Amino acid sequence: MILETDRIAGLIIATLGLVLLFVVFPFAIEDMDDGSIKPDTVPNAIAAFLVVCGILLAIKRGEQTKRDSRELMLVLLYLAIIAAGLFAISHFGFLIVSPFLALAIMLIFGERRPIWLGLGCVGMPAIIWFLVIQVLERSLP
Amino acid sequence: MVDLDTILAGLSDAFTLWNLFFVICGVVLGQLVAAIPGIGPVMAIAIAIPFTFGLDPLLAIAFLVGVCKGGTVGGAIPAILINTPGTPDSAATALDGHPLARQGKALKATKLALFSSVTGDTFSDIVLITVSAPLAILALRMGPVEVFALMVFAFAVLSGLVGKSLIKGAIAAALGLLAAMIGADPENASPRLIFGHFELFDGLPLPAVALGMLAISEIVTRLARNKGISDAAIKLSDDGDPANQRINWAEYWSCRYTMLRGAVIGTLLGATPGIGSTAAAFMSYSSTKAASKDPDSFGKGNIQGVAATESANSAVVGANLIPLLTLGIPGSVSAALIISAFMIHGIQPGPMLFKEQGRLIYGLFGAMVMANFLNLWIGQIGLRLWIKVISAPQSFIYISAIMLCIVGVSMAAGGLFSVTVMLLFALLGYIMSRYEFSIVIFIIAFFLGPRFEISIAQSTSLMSGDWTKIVEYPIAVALLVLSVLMLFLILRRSAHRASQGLI
Repeated sequence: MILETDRIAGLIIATLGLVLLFVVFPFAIEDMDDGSIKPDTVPNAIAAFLVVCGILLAIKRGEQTKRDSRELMLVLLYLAIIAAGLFAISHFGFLIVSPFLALAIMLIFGERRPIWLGLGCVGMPAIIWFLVIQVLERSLP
Repeated sequence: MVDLDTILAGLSDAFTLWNLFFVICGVVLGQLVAAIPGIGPVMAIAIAIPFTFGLDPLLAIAFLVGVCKGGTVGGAIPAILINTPGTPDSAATALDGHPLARQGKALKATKLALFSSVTGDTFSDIVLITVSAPLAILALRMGPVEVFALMVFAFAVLSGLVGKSLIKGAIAAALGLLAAMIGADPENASPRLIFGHFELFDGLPLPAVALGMLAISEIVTRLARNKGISDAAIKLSDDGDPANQRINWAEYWSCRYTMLRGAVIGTLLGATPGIGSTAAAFMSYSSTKAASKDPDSFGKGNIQGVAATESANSAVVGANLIPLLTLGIPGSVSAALIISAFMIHGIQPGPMLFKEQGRLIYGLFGAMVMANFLNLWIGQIGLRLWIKVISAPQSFIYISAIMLCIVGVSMAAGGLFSVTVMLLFALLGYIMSRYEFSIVIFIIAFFLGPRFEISIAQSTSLMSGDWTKIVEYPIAVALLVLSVLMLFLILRRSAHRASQGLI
């Protein structure tokens, strides 16, 4: 039996609801008796609703969404590059890291023209520096 | 409720040089970014919000409204020229706009789109200005139980009408509400789901969530879908015939009924949360085609088709603010972002807004009227200029947007922790889009989450914990019955379409 994408998504959602309901919420929400409703009342109701919706999605005749693993890998790659950039920004600052971050993303994207590479790596960080530091008088990360 | 002095004071606040300057900046930015496929006014508003912190509230909100209104015009440019809508609501414009461009009438089509857009937008603004204050008076009579029922109704409408699947819509709403539960609980202020990160005590920062799901996820998706080409986003083919480069009065006047129909459809749908401008544009297009004596000419370059779609999708913008200003419920993601700008400036949206911030609201109305005229003026001057400016390659546009998002979220939400949250929500946004769970519903539910929980707590307290007493609140009962009815009708329609093999 080939599982349709919607069925898999439904099962994942239902499992997520159950995990939240029985594992995460009891551990991560403090129990309080004050107030008209408890802190976990609404989260529990939402998690239970997710379980019901997940089961309904899993049993309903759904659609087979086309899976493109190359696209997913590239999305993860770009997000990983940005995350690495953030890590570097936390140590060296935005002004030093942003040209390298821009260069990496533009090169992977396929940009090879020096003028546009220069504008992306130097021009845009300079504009942001001017806008944030000089105009808005705020600090850059 | 609002006296004449307040109205006049608000309008005088709007018609200042500084306000004019910021509305011009907003309209220019909106037209420009909407013309770039993949960026769009929603992303531009999300990116711009953090940069408006230091501004006066009216200047900030007028600027954002300018972006929103400029976006309704700019989206038509790539739809007409390269058959690639700059915004989803311009998709219907491409149906007749692009054939016109291929006939050498690209400028005629873009100018008609501009005139139709401004006409529809002005119509819906007039409706907004005239009906919102009386509606707010009605809304003020609603207590927590009615507010709870109204939110249930809003979620039912959103889940049912946005996206293809009611269940997926409901799941997106539940996930949005769940994200809103992170942070201190509104009744006891005890920390929930923060896992030791005290930065989350005030909840997930809305700018980080919105920019992650709307901007970064879209940008990385577009980067990933690139096939090694780094082309200009748009190209202009110029023909020499002057008659094909302008719209004369007779052509504009021949579209008056089409534009009026589009404006009415856009206003009605815009005032209903969740339906949005794309549905309005297609509904207006199909009704114009059905009413036409020559329906076969549609899709082949009929100017009525362009007028129908652009008047309708632009009319949604003003009407979207009706539920926002009267009930505090955003009708779209742009409205949710504008509401977050209100809150950043310490202004609580909802029916009390007219009473407590009447001057600001009428200042906003003044700014909206200004934005409409400026849209027309800037659009006529800037049309050719935008086409030149936006011929920058996608690589430059996307990396610029990424850097602005990082800096914007860091400024708005206090540091790199929020930027990390933005990245996590970018991944969630990508996964949700990939499997057709609506991001729009998620963000609106996330925004409404705290109010939803407070309304439940207050209602429980009001009814002494006995929810059977809800029958004593007829408006709430009527809204809940309407919600059930709405869901039933949507399910029946889905079953009918499934039986016909349409889905």
